[in-house]
Amino acid sequence: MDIYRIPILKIEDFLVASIQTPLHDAAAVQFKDDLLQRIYETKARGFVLDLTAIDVVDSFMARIVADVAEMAGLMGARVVVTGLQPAVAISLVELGVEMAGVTTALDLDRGIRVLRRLVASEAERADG
Amino acid sequence: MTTEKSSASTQELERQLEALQRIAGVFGAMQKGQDIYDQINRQVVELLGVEKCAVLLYDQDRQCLVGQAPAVGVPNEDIRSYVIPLAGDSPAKQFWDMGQSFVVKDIDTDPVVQALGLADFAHKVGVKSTMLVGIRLEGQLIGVIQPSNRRDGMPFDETDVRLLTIYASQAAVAIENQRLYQAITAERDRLARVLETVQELSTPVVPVLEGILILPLIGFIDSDRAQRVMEGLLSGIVQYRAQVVILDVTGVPVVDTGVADHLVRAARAAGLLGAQPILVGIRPEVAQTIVGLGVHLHEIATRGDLRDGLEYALAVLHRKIVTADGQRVGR
Repeated sequence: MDIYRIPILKIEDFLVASIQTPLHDAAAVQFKDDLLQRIYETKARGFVLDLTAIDVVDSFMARIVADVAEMAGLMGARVVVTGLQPAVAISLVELGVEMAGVTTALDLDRGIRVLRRLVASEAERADG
Repeated sequence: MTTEKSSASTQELERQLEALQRIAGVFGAMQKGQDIYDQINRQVVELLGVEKCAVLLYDQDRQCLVGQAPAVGVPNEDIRSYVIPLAGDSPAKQFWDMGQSFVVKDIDTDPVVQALGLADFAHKVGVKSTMLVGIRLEGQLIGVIQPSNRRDGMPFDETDVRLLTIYASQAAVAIENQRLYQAITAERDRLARVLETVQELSTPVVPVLEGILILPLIGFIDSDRAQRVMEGLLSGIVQYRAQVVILDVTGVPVVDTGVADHLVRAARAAGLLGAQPILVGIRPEVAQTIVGLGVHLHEIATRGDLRDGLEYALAVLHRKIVTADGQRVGR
């Protein structure tokens, strides 16, 4: 059986992926592998994960997102999650899974800007 | 001869008894949704065997009886224009004041009808003979029922008057119920609108500067309201693309664990949409309660009042308020 693979696009120094359907085990593992491989290949400084199309985020999915963010961080890429729907945000808070340590932004446009700022401040710190 | 007479009177009695039974039955069959006058008119048409029937109600201000639509056998526009004056010099006044029923055997020869100038109207709607019986509620006359034209062509008699009088006393209760029902329905609708307004007012979201939202919270917060606050806050963030939201709790009299918990959740949810929450306006007693309850608000930035909160928000956005010549404004 083919595993659905999420396209990961490169723009400037960053990678962008948009999740359109709820992820299940195999697809999630595949996504993790693909993403880390792409970060390694492209030496991307940051990654925007867009969840605009997602209506329901369960605790499994929240875990995956937090894990991916941490792993990408270990490889030197900052992760920003964008496009969370208000209803999704409420249910995440109600469930008590808040994706600790994950930076969020309103939409893709904001996400890229936040990422630039994060990367810039890191560069500053490195210089200092 | 005697037998014939007694048989006739027995028949008459039976007719009355049957009519009484029907009167007792019909009010149970009244339907709430349907028009009350229409139902009354139809029942009278049935009971008395007449062609037309209308209800008129007393108008206190204009001192007259006014026809109520719909009537049976009279078009709506005609019945609405049907008015019997009862002011000082009206020939109908004495009947009204005495509470007497009023029978007109023939429209063309009746002196009262002629004096009231209603003969033309009667001809227009095709009334030949008619009678009016008062509708009495708690001793007070509130209107009349007026059937016209017996189907058998006979004039109205004593029996008709008696039956209609009994019917009218029942109809009065039905009319009053209808009035009360309408009054209550109107009041309920009004309250629903007020409640809607209150709910709207209870969750205002103010876009004060670009990227900054203020949520002034006033009054008690229960879980229902907290839910609406959170929804209003999140949709406000999306709508105005806010980066900082200031929750002003100056007007919240009591902050217990529940409220604090709701505030923390709202703040976290705002954070997930990429907006930084700031809590301002915590009064001394509220601060004591929060600490006393062991609620931790560490993850939310707090400032003393709205002004400080706004300055902090501007700092977050790398902006500041300056005078026109570039002087810094603020403390």
